[in-house]
Amino acid sequence: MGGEVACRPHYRQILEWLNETPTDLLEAKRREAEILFRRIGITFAVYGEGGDPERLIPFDIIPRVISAAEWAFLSKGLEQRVRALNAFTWDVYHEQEIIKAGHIPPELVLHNESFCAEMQNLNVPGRIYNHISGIDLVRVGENDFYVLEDNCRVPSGVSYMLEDREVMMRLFPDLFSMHDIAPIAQYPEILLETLHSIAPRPSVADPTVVLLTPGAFNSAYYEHCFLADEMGIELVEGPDLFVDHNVVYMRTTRGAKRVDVIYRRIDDAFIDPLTFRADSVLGVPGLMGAYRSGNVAIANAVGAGIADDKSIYIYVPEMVRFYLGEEPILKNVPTFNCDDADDRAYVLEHVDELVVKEARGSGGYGMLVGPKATKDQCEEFKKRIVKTPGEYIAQPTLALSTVPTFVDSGVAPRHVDLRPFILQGADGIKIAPGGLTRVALREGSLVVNSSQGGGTKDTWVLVSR
Amino acid sequence: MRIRVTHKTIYRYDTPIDFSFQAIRLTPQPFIGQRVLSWRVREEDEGVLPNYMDGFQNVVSLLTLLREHEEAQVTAEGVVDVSDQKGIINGAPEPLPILYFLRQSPRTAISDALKSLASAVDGTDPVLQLHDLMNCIHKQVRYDTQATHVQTTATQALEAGAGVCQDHAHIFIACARALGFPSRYVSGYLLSSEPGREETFEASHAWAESYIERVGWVGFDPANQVCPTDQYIRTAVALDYDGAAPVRGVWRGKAEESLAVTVSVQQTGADQ
Amino acid sequence: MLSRSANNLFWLTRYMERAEYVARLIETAIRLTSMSKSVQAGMNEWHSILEASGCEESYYEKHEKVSARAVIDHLLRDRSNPSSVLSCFETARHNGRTERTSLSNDIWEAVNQTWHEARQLTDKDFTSDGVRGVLDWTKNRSLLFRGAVSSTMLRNEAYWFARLGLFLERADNTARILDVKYHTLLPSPDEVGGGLDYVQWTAILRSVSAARAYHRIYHRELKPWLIAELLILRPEMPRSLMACMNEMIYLLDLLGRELGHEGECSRLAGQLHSKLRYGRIDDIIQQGLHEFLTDFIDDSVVLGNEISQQYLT
Repeated sequence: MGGEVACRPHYRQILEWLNETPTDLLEAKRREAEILFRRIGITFAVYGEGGDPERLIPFDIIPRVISAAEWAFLSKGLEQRVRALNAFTWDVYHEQEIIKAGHIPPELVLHNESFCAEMQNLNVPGRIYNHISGIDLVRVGENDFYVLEDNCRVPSGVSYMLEDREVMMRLFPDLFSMHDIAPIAQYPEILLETLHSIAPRPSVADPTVVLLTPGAFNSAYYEHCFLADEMGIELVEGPDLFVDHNVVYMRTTRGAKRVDVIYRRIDDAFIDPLTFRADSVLGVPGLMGAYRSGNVAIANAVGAGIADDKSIYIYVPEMVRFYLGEEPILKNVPTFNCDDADDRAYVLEHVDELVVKEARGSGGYGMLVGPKATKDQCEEFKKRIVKTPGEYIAQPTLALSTVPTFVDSGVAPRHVDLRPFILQGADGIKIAPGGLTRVALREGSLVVNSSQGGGTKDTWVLVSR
Repeated sequence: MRIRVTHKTIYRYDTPIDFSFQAIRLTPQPFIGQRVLSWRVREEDEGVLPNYMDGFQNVVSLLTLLREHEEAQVTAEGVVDVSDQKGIINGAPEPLPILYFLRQSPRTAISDALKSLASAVDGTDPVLQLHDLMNCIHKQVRYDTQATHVQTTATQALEAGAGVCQDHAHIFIACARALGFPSRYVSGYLLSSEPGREETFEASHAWAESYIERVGWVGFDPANQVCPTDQYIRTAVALDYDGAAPVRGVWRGKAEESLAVTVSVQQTGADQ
Repeated sequence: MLSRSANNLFWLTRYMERAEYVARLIETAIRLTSMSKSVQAGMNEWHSILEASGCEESYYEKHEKVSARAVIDHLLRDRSNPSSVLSCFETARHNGRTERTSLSNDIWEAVNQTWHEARQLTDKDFTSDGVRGVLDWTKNRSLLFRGAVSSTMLRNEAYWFARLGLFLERADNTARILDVKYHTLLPSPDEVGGGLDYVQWTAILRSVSAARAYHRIYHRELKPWLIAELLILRPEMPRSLMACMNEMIYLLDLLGRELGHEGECSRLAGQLHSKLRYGRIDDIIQQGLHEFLTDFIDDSVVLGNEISQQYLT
């Protein structure tokens, strides 16, 4: 480790271990990990780009460690945020009190692509919309976390969280015995409990739950198989299901079997060709009829995406105050809305310090990273902001914390983010202690996406003794 | 006025298929001025179809056929008492906030041509403005069943200068929204002015509704240049045709589907 | 279980079995042509294995004439031919991948590894020298797969559907190869006992790995009607129609009881089974071996459809 890097106490044992372990052994373990992943078949599919269609996401063998105290703080914040997001979704599909109270502009919700009129006045089972939420966080200091993004639709990555742990336990059993690490292997069981809790027929003791996948060509197909297998439920594709008299059935070798809960991993637009995209062959015709008739539960709920929309993000702290009467525990990245005169003045003044993004854009297109931009680029963006201020937002660049990572040159600090998975059922909120840590393997990079040189790490939450 | 509707749709597939599904929005609901005395949607072999309420509170009947078939016959029929409310809708289910209906939709996306049509509208009073809009559209877009098809957008229809009731309604909705009036698409039935004649096109009809402050939702039928009267039965509303389409279907198999539709809308009973 | 899953497993084993069968056909043809002096006879061999593989139509869509090179390529690695060995392995792997959750690791690795190895094959592997290696590899992979299925799969409906596919495919394959060669098994005074026939008979037996079995069972020189009997009626011969039908009857019975409904497929299988169970080879030959075999092939197609109707859709 470079001497300039300060080390937090819960990393002490890891660093001692790193100092004692020769680099070539670490390298050997890294290769072993790769073979394990390849054998288990944990790949993400990338079709149509040439090369190996089934790629591995790089795995870093040094775990990311979160202290018990920090996790206690974090999990409280996550629970609060997820409850608020759910309350918001219920509200916008019912009375819309938050709009009436003037806390959020009506157009932002009602004219939002993610607002789904088909969900209006539907009393979803257990009043739950985001049964599985993935909240993307970054840490900038002690008990200082920022939420980058909420994922309330079909958050993925939990299989990496679980398999990273499996592989680590196989590679470094000694390291595990040195630490007291909160287990995460129970996640599939809790997920199944969560899904059971929303079954619409309370009289049925053992409701039928299925996982609806778009199929083997989906990039997350491995995860779909993995979760279905771990939960012991059927992995179904659209054509395996049909709706008759507003009841969902699946085709089995024993004949038609009634389905109570659908854990779907396909997008809203594809879920029912009679209601949404007519060209969808992935969905189930008539599913919305069964859903609106109260005969089936869908997780996450259709229309849940209204809560994780980019333009709604700014209002999440407001939601926490409005629905829960509490102060938000987790912070939003401060966001300047260029449509607002004061904000705009600030942005134009400080453009070289800010990240300017298109409010509706995605994927980094049309983005300005002020500190790395040329003077001309900054001027260009200032002109654009003045011309169509409503299309831009701006955020400060965060001083992300780094964690030790094993790279070609040895052990070096790299930036990470964290996606914990929060489960919300009729029986309450449960959080697997940990999450998916994504790491930017390139030096200095802040981009953790697997498509741009990002990898994953096992995430340890220490148990306080 | 008491009106009897018999609407038969025969779905035919050129080769036998194993599964087909149809969502049918052909059930009128009661509100002030529209009293539904009897109504049912049935399939020849399946009997009365199950239904559900969609997000706009339209009744959606679902036909599921899981056996081998080449044909299905759906009949929507019933009797409705209608009285003239000058096009004003009162007492209908309104699950969505009025502002929602200012939202653009694929079929009613705004364009420069639509904007300039809207901005040419005269009148200080909202009611007069919308009437003027209705008259303008009626003048500029002639009735022609060949000029457009079921997928045509408002922009395309305006450019063609011709279309059917669906296109008139889409153009009206796009312009009215541009003028700041929440607006929506309505599908339903229209009693032909010539008694006893069986209509196949305009008997199944479409028009628009706009929201006017202190008045409420008001119907406008630019195809016929009137506000709906006691000759109009309203069955479904949505942002545009896609959400209120009378029939929407999918099937599995390499078959071509063809529809044969006959609609009879006639005055009946005590008021005749 | 899901009908689609049952269908995938049913076809997974069918494709793995078909790959081996096609490889065995190619082997037979190579053996026969290498022993026959006449070029014309050699070409007939290549044509008849096209027939026996059911790939005639797809072959003649792409080729005008029969040549050893082209037939081998078409049957071994042409991806546009769904029954080529490499296509079979690819489809099997796709089915296996979709059903990962009902397969043991051993089965999955057998299927997956086969696919990965198939992707590594180069033109060099398909030259006349290399081809034998690919054929041996094909048989080995298929054997390994079947071993993994029978030693690691839970004995539940997933297993039963997988077995059902295997035996339906195998019965169909045996019937086809016999049908293509049926004329050599018919008593014809001029040719019987001729050198060519002897070679042909041995080749048929080898194609279903029954050459030694014949001698063990009959303890005498090759007689065409006994060869027919061995491959049609003898229950101890693993690739005979009788043996395959015995397995299928057992499996359909089990499935019918377990899943709570027996249907047309059970009745049809029973009918086919009793034809074999109580059939005599003399009667079969007298009434027409070819007719008997084509009837069987047609019936097994119908049986496949009925199984599909009842359980797999």
